[in-house]
Amino acid sequence: MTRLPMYRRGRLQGFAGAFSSELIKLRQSTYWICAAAMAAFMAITMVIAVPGPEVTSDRGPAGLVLSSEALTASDGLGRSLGNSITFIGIVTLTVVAINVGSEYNHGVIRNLLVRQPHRTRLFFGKITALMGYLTVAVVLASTCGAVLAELLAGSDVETGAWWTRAGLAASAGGMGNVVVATWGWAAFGIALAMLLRSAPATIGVGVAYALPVEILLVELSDDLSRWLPGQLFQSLARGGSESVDHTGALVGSLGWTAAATVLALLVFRYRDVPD
Amino acid sequence: MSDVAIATDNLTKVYGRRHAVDRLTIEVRAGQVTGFVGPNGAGKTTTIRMLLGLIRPTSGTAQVLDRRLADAPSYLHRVGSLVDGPAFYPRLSGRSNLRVLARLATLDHRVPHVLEVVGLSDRADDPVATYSLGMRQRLGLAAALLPDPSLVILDEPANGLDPAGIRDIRRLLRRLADDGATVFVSSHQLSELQEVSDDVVLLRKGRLVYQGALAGLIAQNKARITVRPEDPEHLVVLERIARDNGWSAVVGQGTLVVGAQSGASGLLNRAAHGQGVTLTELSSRPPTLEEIFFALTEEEE
Repeated sequence: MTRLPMYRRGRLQGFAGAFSSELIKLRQSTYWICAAAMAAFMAITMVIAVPGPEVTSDRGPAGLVLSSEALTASDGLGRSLGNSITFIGIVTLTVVAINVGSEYNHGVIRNLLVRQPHRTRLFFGKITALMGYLTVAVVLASTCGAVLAELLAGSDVETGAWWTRAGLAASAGGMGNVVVATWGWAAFGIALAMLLRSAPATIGVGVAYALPVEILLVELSDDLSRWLPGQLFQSLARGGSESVDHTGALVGSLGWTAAATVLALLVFRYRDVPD
Repeated sequence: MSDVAIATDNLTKVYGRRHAVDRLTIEVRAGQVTGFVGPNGAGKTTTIRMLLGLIRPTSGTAQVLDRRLADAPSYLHRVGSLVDGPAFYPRLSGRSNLRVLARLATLDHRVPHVLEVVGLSDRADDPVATYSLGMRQRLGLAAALLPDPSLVILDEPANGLDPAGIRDIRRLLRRLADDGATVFVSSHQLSELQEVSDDVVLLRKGRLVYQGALAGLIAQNKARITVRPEDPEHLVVLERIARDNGWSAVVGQGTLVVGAQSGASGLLNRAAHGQGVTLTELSSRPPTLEEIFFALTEEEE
């Protein structure tokens, strides 16, 4: 077996150490509460999205209600799961703001950087663990949402198509879309938290941007919804929108995720830690 | 390893127009306890942060454990530190907090040992939020000891500790130095540093005021001689004797405190007797680090 050169082993060990260290932090009650909040928001989304046979609109509150026909189609469940992204995005922003911002607020970052001075290894170990946690949380929340949707549908909504092979694939795809969109929100939040170095400020600025600012910008120009990160994450989670199709939303979301991650890394790597 | 654990050369950190650390050139001897002294805002913490790779110097260089400051990862695995007070995740236990740090450097096996060294084994599984400030300070020290360090850099380690805790810290620092580690410790409690330090570095407004052996510094400075005449009216006579000999003199409550070289007390006693003054008290002690520090910084001003 070929042995890795020493410097590569050091990098891997540093990354693995940072990842493993982050897993201990993720056992704090805050992260269980946030995962539960995601499940709760997913449940609320399902309560709105599976209302009964009398609703024919495909708009509804915040665009969450599909028409009866669309809801009972094989991708009806997958599309409904994606409707939760606004809530999931806000919870995600809160989680990463607490994770990154509070390390600066509490001063813990100093200890971490002395024990792992290779900042890039520390950064990627942390990010990987956080994204892993978010993936698990979204998958669990989506599973809860799917079960609840079936219970809510009862005999009023025909759900047979959801559980066909095509339906399961569409639901898995919908869940995947929500996961990628969540990574986008996480990267956006991490970059903000690295810049602002404060959990409350990150949550405030992040939510203010995601809700009123983006919504106002889109009101000013519809075309912006093809480019703004929050709009792209939302379009992706819903499997595409009028302004951008699924592929465009996926590429745009991954682009924003990569850009935010690089920005966060550069700030983390090169900025002093004076406080 | 060389005899010098830390050597800075014109180390400077500028924030805007303010020089937090200004051309600081110091040497910290290996295997000794060196006190790092200065008032708030003197630049102690900024210097420590630069040594730990947390902030980059504006100019100047340094060597830590024979490695360049610019290559901090090459020496930080041998450095233990406590900067700006203990910082932990309040909802995690003391043990988990240490494991968060230990895993970064594959030091899990050291966690039980360092908890025992600082006397926290019994409370290790309680959340840090339930710890007193003194216990958090001990946990901070435990974190500093995780890598079995060759160099320990501590910023105000006695903050929040009760007298017994301070005594324990003092013993711990001494033991670390006796075991071969270099201890570089800042504190505003100068009396505590005086108890434990071999050397001192005095800093004021980012600039070096003094560095060297503490014993030498004390020997160079004037002793404090306290005299109490039987008749308080004679304080004036004693003050005149002191001034005539070129000594400083401060009149207190029925006493006179004279700053003079050791050995002056005999001369003072004879002179007082010659003037018909009877003394009921005559004592001499070396100056404290605090008195020296203020004398030096007042000279600077």
